[in-house]
Amino acid sequence: MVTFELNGQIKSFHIDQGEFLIDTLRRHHVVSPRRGCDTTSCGVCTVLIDDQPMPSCALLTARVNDKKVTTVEGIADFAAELSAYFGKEGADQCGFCNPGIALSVYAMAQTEENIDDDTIRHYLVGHLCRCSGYVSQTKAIKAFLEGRK
Amino acid sequence: MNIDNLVKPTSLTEAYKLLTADQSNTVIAGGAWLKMSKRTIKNGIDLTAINSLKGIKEEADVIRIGSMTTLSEIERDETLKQYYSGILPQAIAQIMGVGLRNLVTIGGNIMSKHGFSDIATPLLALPCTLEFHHQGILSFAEFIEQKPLKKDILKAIILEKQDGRGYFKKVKKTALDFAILNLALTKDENGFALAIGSRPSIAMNAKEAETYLSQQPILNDTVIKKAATMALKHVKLGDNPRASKAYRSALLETYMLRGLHHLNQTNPQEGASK
Repeated sequence: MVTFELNGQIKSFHIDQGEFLIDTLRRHHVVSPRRGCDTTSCGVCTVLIDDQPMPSCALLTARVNDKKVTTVEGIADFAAELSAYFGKEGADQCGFCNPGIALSVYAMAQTEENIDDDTIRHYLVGHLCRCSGYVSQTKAIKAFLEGRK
Repeated sequence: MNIDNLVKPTSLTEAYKLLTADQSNTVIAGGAWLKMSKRTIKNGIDLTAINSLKGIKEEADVIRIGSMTTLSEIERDETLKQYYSGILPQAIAQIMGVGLRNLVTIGGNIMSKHGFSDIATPLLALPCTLEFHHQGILSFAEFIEQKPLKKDILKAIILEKQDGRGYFKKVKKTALDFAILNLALTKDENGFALAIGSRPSIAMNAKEAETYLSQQPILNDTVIKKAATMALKHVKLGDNPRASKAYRSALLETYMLRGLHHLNQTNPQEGASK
């Protein structure tokens, strides 16, 4: 049994000892962390653990006991606002990578001061997007953060 | 990797006892690449409850990095950013993405002895030793050469405090890719150190070139070119799907020349290369 805070609510789950967080979440119908490469390379399974982005495909569920786990549903207002900027900049096509990117942008906004293009690119490196090419995403994130000041 | 049982010891003694109790028992550090292994292990030993293995501590003569310190913590550490031009944090900042670096620990990376490691290369060029629970202190080079790897728990990476400059270069095809070649150069009062990694085998020192460079009164073009020739002669490079031996040789020569020129010309805070 593992217990953690999931998007503001305390939840308990029966797990196998070697189970990964993405499997636990998806089995309980939390499907915004997507299964992509399943080997830590693509970023679509990203969740926040105590507000820090991590790939849920490589994180043992037993290790998040007593921690705070946030998926994109836990930052819904932030993600909705960001997605509007993605739309304006044409940074959104298939959308598969968006939940992971939104969580990383959220963590970046909490962690970093003086965010510039290099900071945004630094946080985007862990997220594969086969549609956009990252330039439009960088512009959208920059405009979004400017808009929040 | 299939884990029958995940155990969370609270002391090193308990962890070591568990590790050596069964051949299949294995330490789980960051655990980032557990899925890559097909092994079944009886007990996965989770070290996250042993607080003495976490964090970076600056002491009088050394900087101690606990083996369970994450790559992100090292990347952001202000002391390490100044140490030998910050080559260790700069090498780490080029590993995959922020999310992975929040998960991966330096101890897990070192103990895996991956050929493509971007951490082994700068550590081989720095005055660095490893502190193990059972074996005590080993130099990083001794650890690299240890075959087979003895079952032990890495406690800390110990960096000797010295004034030195450094240069690090990782050559890769894309931001998320492994290195085709990586190279670290340092210079301090003891002379030069030169390490080459992702050869594609695990990093090694170019000892002949290090000795030669350290004996030269000045570092001019002739000396630099001769040192590069010596490194090419003595460092074993090979082929893999990322690059040929010939391409790696060309990269080694090119970046060794650039690195040595860089060390010759820059001040200590401008040493590392992106």
